[in-house]
Amino acid sequence: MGDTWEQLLSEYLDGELSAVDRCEVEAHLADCTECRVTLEELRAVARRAAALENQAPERDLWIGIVQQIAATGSAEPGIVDIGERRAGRRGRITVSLPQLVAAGIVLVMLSAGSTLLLQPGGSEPVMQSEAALSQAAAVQAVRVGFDVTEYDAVIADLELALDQGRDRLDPNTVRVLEQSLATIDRAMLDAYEALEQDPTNSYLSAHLAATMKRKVELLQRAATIARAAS
Amino acid sequence: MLTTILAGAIATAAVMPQTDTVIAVGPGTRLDIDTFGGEVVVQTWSRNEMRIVANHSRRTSVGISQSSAAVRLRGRSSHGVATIDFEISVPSGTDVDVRGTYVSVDLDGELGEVRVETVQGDIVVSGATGFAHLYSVQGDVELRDADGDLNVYSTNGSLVVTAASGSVRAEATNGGITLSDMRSSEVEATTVNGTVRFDGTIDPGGRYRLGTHSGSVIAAVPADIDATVSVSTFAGDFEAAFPITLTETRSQGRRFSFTVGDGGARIELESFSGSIRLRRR
Repeated sequence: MGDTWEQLLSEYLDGELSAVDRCEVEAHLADCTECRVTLEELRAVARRAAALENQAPERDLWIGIVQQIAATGSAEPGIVDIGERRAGRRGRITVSLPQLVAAGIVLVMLSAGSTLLLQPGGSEPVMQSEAALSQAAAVQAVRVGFDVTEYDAVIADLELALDQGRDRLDPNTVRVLEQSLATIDRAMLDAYEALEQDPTNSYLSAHLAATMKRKVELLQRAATIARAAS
Repeated sequence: MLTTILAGAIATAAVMPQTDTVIAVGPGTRLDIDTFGGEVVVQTWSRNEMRIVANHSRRTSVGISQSSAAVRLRGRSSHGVATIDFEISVPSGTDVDVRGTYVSVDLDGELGEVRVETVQGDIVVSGATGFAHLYSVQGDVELRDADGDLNVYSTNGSLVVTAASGSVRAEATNGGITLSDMRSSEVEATTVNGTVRFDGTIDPGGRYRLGTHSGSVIAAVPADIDATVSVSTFAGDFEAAFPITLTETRSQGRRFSFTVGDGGARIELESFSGSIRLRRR
């Protein structure tokens, strides 16, 4: 199954295909087991995303997360380096659906703190931060009614996919992707720090959420490129 | 000198026209191109035919398949990657899809819907109608004279949209966005690192959102607009070229809104750390 078919399946599932293309996809599905399996995987992800409630987080979420970060005494987060996060990733991803990103917006906000954990900066402080932040996030997850780990799982899977395709990508492309991820991470960090100063600022909350959503989208794109290169 | 001449001769011999064919097509036949590298140039003409000229090396070929729905071109190579320069003429109104890795794309004419995705390469499209989706990871994207649901993206390049109407979404990460001579009723242009510029009319019922993290937002609009304008920044500043009366202020003056005229349109201007300028056009 080529990348073209995978993209078409996503569009098919989203109802974005023309009647002609829809017929073409359905004809192909009749003959291609791999595509039928992939379609079912995409449907499962879509169901998972649709089940998430799109609810705004409470404002004290930020205070809690920031306090937890401060309490751990972790170093200032650095820049994401894809190559430094190869170990310990979970299995294959099937994340290419716009709905997942749309539903993920609240998850993005909830997992703001834990996303900081992706930054390198020494294993010991990071592990401490992870525990503290997971605890804080879990409290908030209960408050809004779903599990914060969903978003982190998406991020981890996408990074894994990118890692797996990294060696097949043009070094210049890898460099550009890493620079862009670094740009996004710096913007996220700016927003965190701003929220620490002004926790009730809805612009900052929305800005942070939008920036983190952008990270998911970029990782999705990068993962797609990496898969296509394989 | 001799080396240069010889190298030129070898290059000329290796890259020569290998494909030149004309295909009769019915109304609504889409052009679909999937190739690894090279350049794709498409223009429209008044004939019910597609002419496909492809320049490539001897180890590369172009797979052409046709159905009532589409003419599909696939780059093939015996050494793994296919680098092909296409020059294609299509009937006016043709939908065009192009996917590639190291591909630059130039589409011009009375096009239908357009979808282009490339990893490395610039995209220039003029004349899309109905829908456009243009994405380059590391390349500039330019869209001109387009109407419909228009979406332009670049991860590491600039975005330029000129003389567009309909709904426009422009999104970059490392790169500026310039929207000129706009006639859209719905615009969303955001980047993380770059300046966002807008110059155009404001529909009384329209929605416009221009945002950046580190960069400026510069919006040039007619003086007689009817709009509710909201401005948000954290460490930037705001300046308007005409008198305004604030209707709401929050966050120590870093977020505020005001109404111009009857306030029909909604304009949101956001820059985390840069300046925000509202100018007369």
